[in-house]
Amino acid sequence: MNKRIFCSLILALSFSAFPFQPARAHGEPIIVVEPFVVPLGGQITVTGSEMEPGEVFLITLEGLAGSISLGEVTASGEGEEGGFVAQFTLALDITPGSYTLAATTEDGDSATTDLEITAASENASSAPAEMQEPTGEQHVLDRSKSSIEIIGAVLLIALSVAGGVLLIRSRD
Amino acid sequence: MAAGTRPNQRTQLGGWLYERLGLQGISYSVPKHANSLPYVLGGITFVGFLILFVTGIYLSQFYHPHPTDAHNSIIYIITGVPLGDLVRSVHFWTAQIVTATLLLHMLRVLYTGSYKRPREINWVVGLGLLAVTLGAVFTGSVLKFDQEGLEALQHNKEAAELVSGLGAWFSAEFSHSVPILTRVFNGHVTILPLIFGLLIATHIFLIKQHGISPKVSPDAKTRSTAGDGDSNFGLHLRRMVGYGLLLFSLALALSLIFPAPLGQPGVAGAEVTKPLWMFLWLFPAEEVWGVRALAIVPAMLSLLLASLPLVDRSPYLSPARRKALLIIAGIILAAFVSSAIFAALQPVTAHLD
Repeated sequence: MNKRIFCSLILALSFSAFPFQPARAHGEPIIVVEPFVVPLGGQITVTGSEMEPGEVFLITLEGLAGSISLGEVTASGEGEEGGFVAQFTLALDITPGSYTLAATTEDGDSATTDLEITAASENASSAPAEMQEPTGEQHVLDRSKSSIEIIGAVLLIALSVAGGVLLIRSRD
Repeated sequence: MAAGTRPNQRTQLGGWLYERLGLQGISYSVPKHANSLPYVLGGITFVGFLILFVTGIYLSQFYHPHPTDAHNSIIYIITGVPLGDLVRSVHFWTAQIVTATLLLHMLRVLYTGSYKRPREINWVVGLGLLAVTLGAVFTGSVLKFDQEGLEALQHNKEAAELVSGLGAWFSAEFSHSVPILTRVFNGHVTILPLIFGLLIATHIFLIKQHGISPKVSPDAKTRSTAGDGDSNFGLHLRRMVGYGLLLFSLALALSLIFPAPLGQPGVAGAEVTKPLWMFLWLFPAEEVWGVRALAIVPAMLSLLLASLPLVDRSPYLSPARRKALLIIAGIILAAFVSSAIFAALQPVTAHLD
Protein backbone atom coordinates (compact mmCIF):
# COMPACT_ATOMS: atom_id res chain seq x y z
CA MET A 1 0.00 0.00 0.00
CA ASN A 2 2.78 2.40 0.99
CA LYS A 3 4.71 1.55 -2.15
CA ARG A 4 1.65 2.21 -4.31
CA ILE A 5 1.13 5.62 -2.77
CA PHE A 6 4.82 6.40 -3.05
CA CYS A 7 4.90 5.35 -6.75
CA SER A 8 1.81 7.48 -7.44
CA LEU A 9 3.48 10.47 -5.85
CA ILE A 10 6.67 9.95 -7.85
CA LEU A 11 4.53 9.74 -11.01
CA ALA A 12 2.68 12.93 -10.06
CA LEU A 13 5.98 14.67 -9.38
CA SER A 14 7.33 13.57 -12.75
CA PHE A 15 4.29 15.01 -14.52
CA SER A 16 4.66 18.24 -12.60
CA ALA A 17 8.15 18.64 -14.08
CA PHE A 18 6.58 19.39 -17.46
CA PRO A 19 5.52 22.92 -18.31
CA PHE A 20 1.78 23.52 -18.06
CA GLN A 21 1.59 25.49 -21.28
CA PRO A 22 2.32 24.31 -24.80
CA ALA A 23 5.98 24.93 -25.62
CA ARG A 24 6.74 27.57 -28.21
CA ALA A 25 9.94 27.62 -30.21
CA HIS A 26 10.66 31.16 -29.06
CA GLY A 27 8.97 31.11 -25.63
CA GLU A 28 6.38 33.64 -24.47
CA PRO A 29 6.82 37.24 -25.65
CA ILE A 30 8.19 39.60 -23.00
CA ILE A 31 8.22 43.40 -22.87
CA VAL A 32 10.12 45.71 -20.56
CA VAL A 33 9.40 49.41 -20.29
CA GLU A 34 11.87 52.05 -19.19
CA PRO A 35 11.24 54.06 -17.14
CA PHE A 36 8.28 52.35 -15.48
CA VAL A 37 7.25 55.63 -13.85
CA VAL A 38 6.92 58.45 -16.39
CA PRO A 39 5.31 61.90 -16.43
CA LEU A 40 2.84 62.97 -19.13
CA GLY A 41 4.71 64.20 -22.17
CA GLY A 42 7.65 61.97 -21.28
CA GLN A 43 9.09 59.28 -23.49
CA ILE A 44 9.14 55.55 -22.82
CA THR A 45 11.33 52.88 -24.37
CA VAL A 46 9.60 49.53 -24.84
CA THR A 47 11.87 46.53 -25.42
CA GLY A 48 10.34 43.27 -26.65
CA SER A 49 12.00 39.85 -26.73
CA GLU A 50 11.15 36.15 -27.24
CA MET A 51 9.18 37.07 -30.39
CA GLU A 52 9.03 35.68 -33.89
CA PRO A 53 10.70 37.96 -36.44
CA GLY A 54 8.02 39.60 -38.56
CA GLU A 55 5.34 39.44 -35.85
CA VAL A 56 3.41 42.72 -35.61
CA PHE A 57 2.56 43.94 -32.12
CA LEU A 58 0.00 46.59 -31.27
CA ILE A 59 1.26 48.57 -28.27
CA THR A 60 -1.54 49.80 -26.00
CA LEU A 61 -2.03 51.33 -22.61
CA GLU A 62 -4.79 49.58 -20.66
CA GLY A 63 -6.24 51.57 -17.82
CA LEU A 64 -9.46 52.40 -16.02
CA ALA A 65 -10.43 54.76 -18.82
CA GLY A 66 -10.03 52.02 -21.43
CA SER A 67 -7.43 51.24 -24.04
CA ILE A 68 -5.10 53.83 -25.60
CA SER A 69 -3.21 52.80 -28.71
CA LEU A 70 0.41 53.95 -28.90
CA GLY A 71 1.29 52.37 -32.24
CA GLU A 72 2.42 49.22 -34.01
CA VAL A 73 5.85 47.62 -33.90
CA THR A 74 7.25 44.76 -35.95
CA ALA A 75 9.64 42.31 -34.33
CA SER A 76 12.91 41.85 -36.15
CA GLY A 77 15.77 39.39 -35.71
CA GLU A 78 17.43 36.32 -37.10
CA GLY A 79 16.24 32.73 -36.99
CA GLU A 80 13.58 32.14 -34.34
CA GLU A 81 14.67 34.89 -31.95
CA GLY A 82 13.12 38.24 -32.57
CA GLY A 83 12.34 41.42 -30.69
CA PHE A 84 12.04 45.16 -30.93
CA VAL A 85 13.03 48.40 -29.26
CA ALA A 86 10.50 51.19 -29.73
CA GLN A 87 10.08 54.63 -28.24
CA PHE A 88 6.79 56.38 -27.62
CA THR A 89 5.99 59.86 -26.35
CA LEU A 90 3.00 59.97 -24.02
CA ALA A 91 0.32 62.43 -25.06
CA LEU A 92 -0.52 65.17 -22.56
CA ASP A 93 -4.25 64.29 -22.55
CA ILE A 94 -3.76 60.87 -20.95
CA THR A 95 -5.14 60.64 -17.40
CA PRO A 96 -2.31 60.07 -14.92
CA GLY A 97 -2.52 56.75 -13.06
CA SER A 98 -1.63 53.07 -13.17
CA TYR A 99 -1.62 51.42 -16.56
CA THR A 100 -0.82 48.08 -18.05
CA LEU A 101 1.34 48.40 -21.14
CA ALA A 102 0.37 45.61 -23.53
CA ALA A 103 1.93 44.33 -26.74
CA THR A 104 -0.58 42.15 -28.60
CA THR A 105 -0.52 40.33 -31.95
CA GLU A 106 -3.49 39.56 -34.15
CA ASP A 107 -3.11 35.90 -33.11
CA GLY A 108 -3.65 36.87 -29.50
CA ASP A 109 -0.03 36.53 -28.33
CA SER A 110 0.56 39.20 -25.74
CA ALA A 111 3.00 40.53 -23.22
CA THR A 112 2.26 43.05 -20.49
CA THR A 113 4.03 45.14 -17.90
CA ASP A 114 3.08 47.84 -15.40
CA LEU A 115 3.49 51.52 -16.25
CA GLU A 116 2.79 54.40 -13.89
CA ILE A 117 1.99 57.74 -15.52
CA THR A 118 2.30 60.81 -13.33
CA ALA A 119 1.25 64.41 -13.97
CA ALA A 120 3.36 66.39 -16.43
CA SER A 121 6.59 67.65 -14.99
CA GLU A 122 8.88 70.48 -15.95
CA ASN A 123 11.62 67.93 -16.37
CA ALA A 124 9.66 65.93 -18.92
CA SER A 125 10.94 66.39 -22.43
CA SER A 126 10.57 64.70 -25.75
CA ALA A 127 14.13 63.41 -25.47
CA PRO A 128 14.55 59.67 -24.73
CA ALA A 129 14.27 58.87 -21.04
CA GLU A 130 17.58 58.59 -19.25
CA MET A 131 18.19 54.97 -18.27
CA GLN A 132 19.16 54.39 -14.67
CA GLU A 133 22.01 51.91 -14.20
CA PRO A 134 20.91 48.87 -12.19
CA THR A 135 23.00 48.25 -9.10
CA GLY A 136 23.00 45.93 -6.12
CA GLU A 137 24.62 48.65 -3.97
CA GLN A 138 22.88 49.73 -0.76
CA HIS A 139 21.52 53.22 -0.13
CA VAL A 140 23.86 55.37 1.90
CA LEU A 141 21.48 57.05 4.33
CA ASP A 142 21.98 58.81 7.61
CA ARG A 143 21.04 56.07 10.04
CA SER A 144 22.54 57.52 13.18
CA LYS A 145 20.33 57.28 16.24
CA SER A 146 19.82 59.81 19.00
CA SER A 147 21.24 59.05 22.45
CA ILE A 148 17.70 58.70 23.81
CA GLU A 149 16.86 56.17 21.11
CA ILE A 150 20.00 54.13 21.85
CA ILE A 151 19.56 54.25 25.63
CA GLY A 152 15.88 53.33 25.27
CA ALA A 153 16.70 50.40 23.00
CA VAL A 154 19.46 49.14 25.30
CA LEU A 155 17.11 49.40 28.30
CA LEU A 156 14.43 47.51 26.40
CA ILE A 157 16.97 44.81 25.49
CA ALA A 158 18.05 44.51 29.14
CA LEU A 159 14.43 44.34 30.35
CA SER A 160 13.50 41.76 27.70
CA VAL A 161 16.50 39.58 28.56
CA ALA A 162 15.76 39.83 32.30
CA GLY A 163 12.05 39.10 31.81
CA GLY A 164 12.80 36.30 29.36
CA VAL A 165 15.32 34.58 31.66
CA LEU A 166 12.93 34.95 34.61
CA LEU A 167 10.08 33.32 32.68
CA ILE A 168 12.29 30.54 31.29
CA ARG A 169 13.61 29.70 34.76
CA SER A 170 10.16 29.64 36.36
CA ARG A 171 8.91 26.30 37.67
CA ASP A 172 5.51 24.60 37.97
CA MET B 1 -3.92 21.09 38.29
CA ALA B 2 -0.43 22.34 39.24
CA ALA B 3 -0.09 24.40 42.43
CA GLY B 4 1.28 27.53 40.71
CA THR B 5 -1.88 28.08 38.73
CA ARG B 6 -4.46 27.80 41.54
CA PRO B 7 -6.55 30.93 41.93
CA ASN B 8 -6.19 30.98 45.72
CA GLN B 9 -2.45 31.55 45.39
CA ARG B 10 -2.81 34.53 43.16
CA THR B 11 -3.27 38.16 44.00
CA GLN B 12 -6.78 39.48 44.25
CA LEU B 13 -6.57 41.08 40.79
CA GLY B 14 -4.97 37.94 39.40
CA GLY B 15 -7.74 35.83 40.87
CA TRP B 16 -10.35 38.18 39.49
CA LEU B 17 -8.85 37.98 36.00
CA TYR B 18 -8.35 34.22 36.35
CA GLU B 19 -12.07 33.74 36.90
CA ARG B 20 -13.35 36.36 34.44
CA LEU B 21 -11.09 35.29 31.57
CA GLY B 22 -11.57 31.59 32.23
CA LEU B 23 -7.82 31.07 32.50
CA GLN B 24 -8.35 27.64 34.04
CA GLY B 25 -8.89 26.63 30.43
CA ILE B 26 -5.16 26.93 29.73
CA SER B 27 -4.10 25.18 32.94
CA TYR B 28 -4.33 21.73 31.42
CA SER B 29 -1.63 19.10 31.85
CA VAL B 30 1.21 18.69 29.40
CA PRO B 31 4.19 16.30 29.45
CA LYS B 32 7.35 17.72 31.04
CA HIS B 33 9.39 17.44 27.82
CA ALA B 34 6.93 19.89 26.17
CA ASN B 35 8.71 22.68 28.08
CA SER B 36 12.18 21.94 26.67
CA LEU B 37 13.59 24.33 24.04
CA PRO B 38 13.15 22.02 21.02
CA TYR B 39 9.44 21.63 21.85
CA VAL B 40 8.94 25.37 22.43
CA LEU B 41 10.32 26.39 18.99
CA GLY B 42 6.82 26.57 17.50
CA GLY B 43 5.69 28.85 20.33
CA ILE B 44 8.76 31.06 19.94
CA THR B 45 7.89 31.42 16.25
CA PHE B 46 4.35 32.43 17.21
CA VAL B 47 5.62 35.16 19.57
CA GLY B 48 7.89 36.31 16.71
CA PHE B 49 4.80 36.66 14.52
CA LEU B 50 3.15 38.85 17.16
CA ILE B 51 6.23 41.14 17.05
CA LEU B 52 5.93 41.19 13.25
CA PHE B 53 2.25 42.18 13.44
CA VAL B 54 2.91 45.05 15.86
CA THR B 55 5.94 46.45 13.98
CA GLY B 56 4.15 45.89 10.65
CA ILE B 57 1.12 47.91 11.76
CA TYR B 58 3.44 50.81 12.67
CA LEU B 59 5.31 50.63 9.35
CA SER B 60 2.09 50.50 7.32
CA GLN B 61 1.16 53.97 8.63
CA PHE B 62 4.07 55.45 6.63
CA TYR B 63 4.60 53.05 3.72
CA HIS B 64 3.02 54.11 0.42
CA PRO B 65 2.23 50.97 -1.64
CA HIS B 66 2.47 52.58 -5.06
CA PRO B 67 5.34 52.11 -7.53
CA THR B 68 5.84 55.87 -7.78
CA ASP B 69 6.30 56.43 -4.06
CA ALA B 70 7.06 53.06 -2.44
CA HIS B 71 10.84 53.32 -2.39
CA ASN B 72 10.82 56.95 -1.29
CA SER B 73 8.37 56.18 1.50
CA ILE B 74 10.86 53.61 2.86
CA ILE B 75 13.61 56.21 2.77
CA TYR B 76 11.20 58.46 4.68
CA ILE B 77 10.54 55.69 7.24
CA ILE B 78 14.31 55.36 7.76
CA THR B 79 15.18 59.04 7.90
CA GLY B 80 12.02 60.90 8.93
CA VAL B 81 9.67 58.71 10.98
CA PRO B 82 10.21 58.61 14.77
CA LEU B 83 11.81 55.22 15.56
CA GLY B 84 11.11 54.30 11.91
CA ASP B 85 14.55 52.85 11.15
CA LEU B 86 14.57 50.87 14.40
CA VAL B 87 11.04 49.50 13.97
CA ARG B 88 11.70 48.57 10.33
CA SER B 89 14.95 46.86 11.34
CA VAL B 90 13.21 44.92 14.15
CA HIS B 91 10.57 43.87 11.58
CA PHE B 92 13.31 42.75 9.19
CA TRP B 93 15.42 40.85 11.77
CA THR B 94 12.40 39.24 13.44
CA ALA B 95 11.34 37.92 10.02
CA GLN B 96 14.80 36.38 9.57
CA ILE B 97 14.81 34.81 13.06
CA VAL B 98 11.21 33.57 12.76
CA THR B 99 12.03 31.84 9.47
CA ALA B 100 14.98 30.13 11.19
CA THR B 101 12.97 29.05 14.26
CA LEU B 102 10.16 27.80 12.03
CA LEU B 103 12.58 25.68 9.99
CA LEU B 104 14.17 24.35 13.20
CA HIS B 105 10.68 23.56 14.54
CA MET B 106 9.93 21.63 11.35
CA LEU B 107 13.22 19.71 11.64
CA ARG B 108 12.40 18.87 15.28
CA VAL B 109 9.00 17.53 14.25
CA LEU B 110 10.65 15.54 11.46
CA TYR B 111 13.37 14.14 13.75
CA THR B 112 11.00 13.14 16.56
CA GLY B 113 8.36 11.69 14.21
CA SER B 114 5.73 14.11 15.50
CA TYR B 115 3.97 14.05 12.11
CA LYS B 116 2.71 10.49 12.70
CA ARG B 117 -0.82 9.41 13.50
CA PRO B 118 -2.92 11.16 14.72
CA ARG B 119 -0.97 14.32 13.81
CA GLU B 120 -0.78 13.92 10.00
CA ILE B 121 -3.19 16.77 9.22
CA ASN B 122 -1.43 19.08 11.65
CA TRP B 123 1.85 18.35 9.84
CA VAL B 124 0.25 19.52 6.59
CA VAL B 125 -1.20 22.59 8.36
CA GLY B 126 2.33 23.30 9.61
CA LEU B 127 3.63 23.10 6.04
CA GLY B 128 0.95 25.62 5.10
CA LEU B 129 2.25 27.92 7.83
CA LEU B 130 5.77 27.53 6.43
CA ALA B 131 4.48 28.48 2.96
CA VAL B 132 2.66 31.52 4.38
CA THR B 133 5.81 32.58 6.26
CA LEU B 134 7.97 32.33 3.15
CA GLY B 135 5.25 34.13 1.20
CA ALA B 136 5.27 36.94 3.76
CA VAL B 137 9.08 37.19 3.62
CA PHE B 138 8.94 37.25 -0.18
CA THR B 139 6.21 39.89 -0.44
CA GLY B 140 7.94 41.92 2.27
CA SER B 141 11.19 41.94 0.31
CA VAL B 142 9.34 43.09 -2.84
CA LEU B 143 7.72 46.05 -1.02
CA LYS B 144 11.08 47.84 -0.66
CA PHE B 145 10.95 48.19 -4.43
CA ASP B 146 14.73 48.35 -4.57
CA GLN B 147 16.76 46.37 -7.09
CA GLU B 148 16.51 43.14 -5.07
CA GLY B 149 12.76 43.53 -4.56
CA LEU B 150 12.08 44.27 -8.21
CA GLU B 151 14.16 41.29 -9.35
CA ALA B 152 12.29 39.05 -6.91
CA LEU B 153 8.98 40.26 -8.36
CA GLN B 154 10.15 39.72 -11.93
CA HIS B 155 11.34 36.17 -11.14
CA ASN B 156 8.02 35.45 -9.50
CA LYS B 157 6.04 36.85 -12.43
CA GLU B 158 7.94 34.60 -14.84
CA ALA B 159 7.54 31.55 -12.60
CA ALA B 160 3.83 32.34 -12.22
CA GLU B 161 3.39 32.52 -16.00
CA LEU B 162 4.56 28.89 -16.18
CA VAL B 163 1.61 27.73 -14.11
CA SER B 164 -0.80 29.61 -16.33
CA GLY B 165 -4.09 30.46 -14.57
CA LEU B 166 -2.73 29.63 -11.11
CA GLY B 167 -0.18 32.41 -11.44
CA ALA B 168 -2.59 35.00 -12.87
CA TRP B 169 -2.56 37.04 -9.65
CA PHE B 170 1.10 37.89 -10.24
CA SER B 171 0.57 39.20 -13.77
CA ALA B 172 0.23 42.92 -14.54
CA GLU B 173 -2.98 42.30 -16.50
CA PHE B 174 -4.82 40.78 -13.51
CA SER B 175 -6.02 44.25 -12.54
CA HIS B 176 -5.97 47.37 -14.67
CA SER B 177 -6.86 49.59 -11.74
CA VAL B 178 -4.30 48.50 -9.15
CA PRO B 179 -0.55 48.09 -9.79
CA ILE B 180 1.01 44.76 -8.90
CA LEU B 181 3.08 46.35 -6.10
CA THR B 182 -0.10 47.54 -4.39
CA ARG B 183 -1.58 44.06 -4.72
CA VAL B 184 1.60 42.52 -3.28
CA PHE B 185 1.24 44.91 -0.32
CA ASN B 186 -2.39 43.87 -0.03
CA GLY B 187 -1.27 40.24 0.04
CA HIS B 188 1.38 41.01 2.66
CA VAL B 189 -0.92 42.83 5.09
CA THR B 190 -4.33 41.21 4.56
CA ILE B 191 -4.40 37.95 2.59
CA LEU B 192 -1.35 36.27 4.14
CA PRO B 193 -2.14 37.34 7.75
CA LEU B 194 -5.71 36.08 7.29
CA ILE B 195 -4.50 32.71 6.02
CA PHE B 196 -1.92 32.68 8.82
CA GLY B 197 -4.66 33.33 11.39
CA LEU B 198 -6.82 30.48 10.10
CA LEU B 199 -3.91 28.05 9.90
CA ILE B 200 -2.42 28.90 13.30
CA ALA B 201 -5.85 28.57 14.94
CA THR B 202 -6.21 25.12 13.36
CA HIS B 203 -2.61 24.23 14.32
CA ILE B 204 -3.12 25.19 17.98
CA PHE B 205 -6.54 23.50 18.12
CA LEU B 206 -5.10 20.25 16.78
CA ILE B 207 -2.14 20.40 19.21
CA LYS B 208 -4.67 20.78 22.04
CA GLN B 209 -6.74 17.89 20.67
CA HIS B 210 -3.86 15.43 20.25
CA GLY B 211 -1.42 16.75 22.85
CA ILE B 212 2.33 17.18 22.37
CA SER B 213 3.86 14.10 20.74
CA PRO B 214 5.28 11.58 23.25
CA LYS B 215 8.88 11.84 24.41
CA VAL B 216 11.20 9.95 22.08
CA SER B 217 12.61 6.74 23.56
CA PRO B 218 13.74 3.51 21.88
CA ASP B 219 10.28 1.94 22.13
CA ALA B 220 8.07 5.04 22.16
CA LYS B 221 5.05 4.81 19.87
CA THR B 222 2.98 7.63 18.49
CA ARG B 223 -0.31 8.31 20.30
CA SER B 224 -2.52 11.09 21.53
CA THR B 225 -1.28 12.60 24.80
CA ALA B 226 -4.14 15.03 25.35
CA GLY B 227 -4.68 15.42 29.11
CA ASP B 228 -1.51 13.45 29.97
CA GLY B 229 1.55 14.80 31.69
CA ASP B 230 2.95 16.02 34.99
CA SER B 231 3.56 19.63 33.92
CA ASN B 232 1.23 22.46 33.05
CA PHE B 233 0.47 24.42 29.90
CA GLY B 234 0.79 27.63 31.92
CA LEU B 235 4.48 26.85 32.37
CA HIS B 236 4.78 26.05 28.66
CA LEU B 237 3.23 29.43 27.92
CA ARG B 238 5.68 31.21 30.26
CA ARG B 239 8.63 29.49 28.56
CA MET B 240 7.21 30.45 25.17
CA VAL B 241 6.91 34.12 26.14
CA GLY B 242 10.30 34.00 27.89
CA TYR B 243 12.09 32.73 24.78
CA GLY B 244 10.00 35.15 22.74
CA LEU B 245 11.36 38.05 24.79
CA LEU B 246 14.90 36.77 24.12
CA LEU B 247 14.03 36.69 20.42
CA PHE B 248 12.84 40.29 20.62
CA SER B 249 15.99 41.42 22.43
CA LEU B 250 18.13 39.64 19.80
CA ALA B 251 16.21 41.33 16.95
CA LEU B 252 16.53 44.71 18.68
CA ALA B 253 20.25 44.28 19.30
CA LEU B 254 20.80 43.26 15.66
CA SER B 255 18.74 46.27 14.56
CA LEU B 256 20.97 48.64 16.49
CA ILE B 257 24.17 47.12 15.08
CA PHE B 258 23.03 46.16 11.57
CA PRO B 259 20.03 48.24 10.41
CA ALA B 260 17.82 46.55 7.80
CA PRO B 261 19.31 46.99 4.32
CA LEU B 262 17.77 49.04 1.51
CA GLY B 263 19.13 48.95 -2.02
CA GLN B 264 18.95 51.54 -4.78
CA PRO B 265 15.63 51.98 -6.67
CA GLY B 266 14.97 49.00 -8.92
CA VAL B 267 15.62 48.97 -12.64
CA ALA B 268 13.33 46.60 -14.54
CA GLY B 269 14.86 43.80 -16.59
CA ALA B 270 18.23 43.74 -14.81
CA GLU B 271 19.68 41.01 -12.59
CA VAL B 272 22.45 42.24 -10.34
CA THR B 273 21.40 41.00 -6.88
CA LYS B 274 20.90 37.72 -5.04
CA PRO B 275 17.79 36.71 -3.11
CA LEU B 276 17.50 36.52 0.70
CA TRP B 277 19.12 33.47 2.36
CA MET B 278 15.87 31.48 2.63
CA PHE B 279 15.48 31.55 -1.18
CA LEU B 280 19.18 31.31 -2.02
CA TRP B 281 19.12 27.49 -2.27
CA LEU B 282 16.92 27.85 -5.37
CA PHE B 283 19.57 29.87 -7.19
CA PRO B 284 21.64 26.92 -8.55
CA ALA B 285 18.44 25.06 -9.56
CA GLU B 286 17.40 28.15 -11.54
CA GLU B 287 20.85 28.19 -13.12
CA VAL B 288 20.35 24.65 -14.41
CA TRP B 289 16.61 24.52 -15.23
CA GLY B 290 15.80 28.18 -15.72
CA VAL B 291 12.95 30.13 -14.13
CA ARG B 292 10.69 27.06 -14.21
CA ALA B 293 12.77 25.71 -11.29
CA LEU B 294 11.22 28.41 -9.09
CA ALA B 295 7.78 26.85 -9.59
CA ILE B 296 8.68 23.19 -9.90
CA VAL B 297 11.31 22.63 -7.18
CA PRO B 298 9.23 24.14 -4.32
CA ALA B 299 6.13 22.27 -5.59
CA MET B 300 8.02 18.97 -5.62
CA LEU B 301 9.49 19.64 -2.18
CA SER B 302 6.06 20.50 -0.78
CA LEU B 303 4.56 17.30 -2.19
CA LEU B 304 7.44 15.27 -0.77
CA LEU B 305 7.05 16.80 2.68
CA ALA B 306 3.24 16.53 2.63
CA SER B 307 3.51 12.84 1.71
CA LEU B 308 5.82 12.08 4.65
CA PRO B 309 3.09 10.74 6.98
CA LEU B 310 1.87 8.49 4.16
CA VAL B 311 5.33 7.11 3.46
CA ASP B 312 6.46 6.65 7.08
CA ARG B 313 3.51 4.93 8.75
CA SER B 314 5.32 2.88 11.40
CA PRO B 315 4.21 3.87 14.92
CA TYR B 316 7.76 4.22 16.27
CA LEU B 317 9.17 7.64 17.07
CA SER B 318 12.77 6.74 17.80
CA PRO B 319 15.21 8.01 15.13
CA ALA B 320 17.06 4.68 15.49
CA ARG B 321 13.99 2.90 14.09
CA ARG B 322 13.63 5.43 11.23
CA LYS B 323 17.21 5.51 10.03
CA ALA B 324 16.55 5.20 6.28
CA LEU B 325 14.06 8.08 6.22
CA LEU B 326 16.22 10.35 8.37
CA ILE B 327 19.32 9.63 6.25
CA ILE B 328 17.39 10.58 3.08
CA ALA B 329 16.07 13.72 4.83
CA GLY B 330 19.62 14.52 5.97
CA ILE B 331 20.96 14.16 2.43
CA ILE B 332 18.22 16.45 1.05
CA LEU B 333 18.93 19.00 3.80
CA ALA B 334 22.68 18.83 3.12
CA ALA B 335 21.94 19.38 -0.59
CA PHE B 336 19.92 22.52 0.25
CA VAL B 337 22.59 23.90 2.55
CA SER B 338 25.40 23.21 0.03
CA SER B 339 23.27 24.68 -2.73
CA ALA B 340 22.76 27.87 -0.68
CA ILE B 341 26.48 28.10 0.18
CA PHE B 342 27.39 27.53 -3.47
CA ALA B 343 24.94 30.26 -4.53
CA ALA B 344 26.31 32.65 -1.91
CA LEU B 345 29.82 32.21 -3.29
CA GLN B 346 28.85 32.42 -6.99
CA PRO B 347 28.80 35.71 -8.91
CA VAL B 348 25.34 36.98 -9.92
CA THR B 349 24.16 35.67 -13.27
CA ALA B 350 21.07 36.58 -15.26
CA HIS B 351 18.21 34.05 -15.41
CA LEU B 352 15.33 36.15 -16.65
CA ASP B 353 14.33 35.86 -20.28
